Amino acid sequence: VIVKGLMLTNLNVFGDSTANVTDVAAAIRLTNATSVGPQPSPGDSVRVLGTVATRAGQPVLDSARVTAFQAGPPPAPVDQTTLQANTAEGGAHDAALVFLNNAVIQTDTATVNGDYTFSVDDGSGSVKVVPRSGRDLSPSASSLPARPSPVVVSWCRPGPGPGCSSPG
Amino acid sequence: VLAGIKVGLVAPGTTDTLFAKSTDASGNVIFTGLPLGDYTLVVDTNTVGDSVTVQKIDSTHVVLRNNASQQQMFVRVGFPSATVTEARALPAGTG
Repeated sequence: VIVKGLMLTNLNVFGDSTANVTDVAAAIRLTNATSVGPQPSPGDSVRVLGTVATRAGQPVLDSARVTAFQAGPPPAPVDQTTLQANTAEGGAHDAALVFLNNAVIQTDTATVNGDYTFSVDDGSGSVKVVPRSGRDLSPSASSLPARPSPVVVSWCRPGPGPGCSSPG
Repeated sequence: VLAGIKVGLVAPGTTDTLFAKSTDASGNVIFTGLPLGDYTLVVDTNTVGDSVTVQKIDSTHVVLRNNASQQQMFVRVGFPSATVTEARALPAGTG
């Protein structure tokens, strides 16, 4: 099947070789994604040819071949609490770009499948975060403080707001 | 370009296949020496494959009025397009 949408991530920035793409209504994860032509960047309009499969109970496009045909800004994220993000609101926002405001780092966990992970909580319930290795948080960075001062974990957000920041 | 797709010519208003051939390695099928008259071009979708679909036939009406008549028809096959929402609802294995 072919879908058109906007890239939410680069290809293969996660240890499990996944990427995400969205259109105006929904998002979906790409697995075993490769590019046809130039590497797509977040915000690029792309055409994806893939086979529908299931991963972690959610649909994905496997063996995805991504063709980028127009550059553009990343789409606006969806505001969510950490509790909502934990289940992606029952899957409604699976694979979507979300913005978690005032989330505090709770635990600093080991690298899992090549990705550094930690959990954050805004008071509603925790969610595991997997930053893009080497960009948002270096996997080789020293451990985070066990109990840091409140740290806002922010994703890049266009327009007014806290913008991009990293924990630390 | 897909080979082995069965293309037929049927009498208009019927389902009677009068002539049929399969596409060659270049994706072409050529009918020659046809009796003058009108035909409707049909594609046997069972021969297209399970992951691609017939997306467009520019014209299905074949009209041969004299012995010099020639008509070229284009059939476009490809992978089906879907919105992300539609793709998420498709059964696993849909390519």
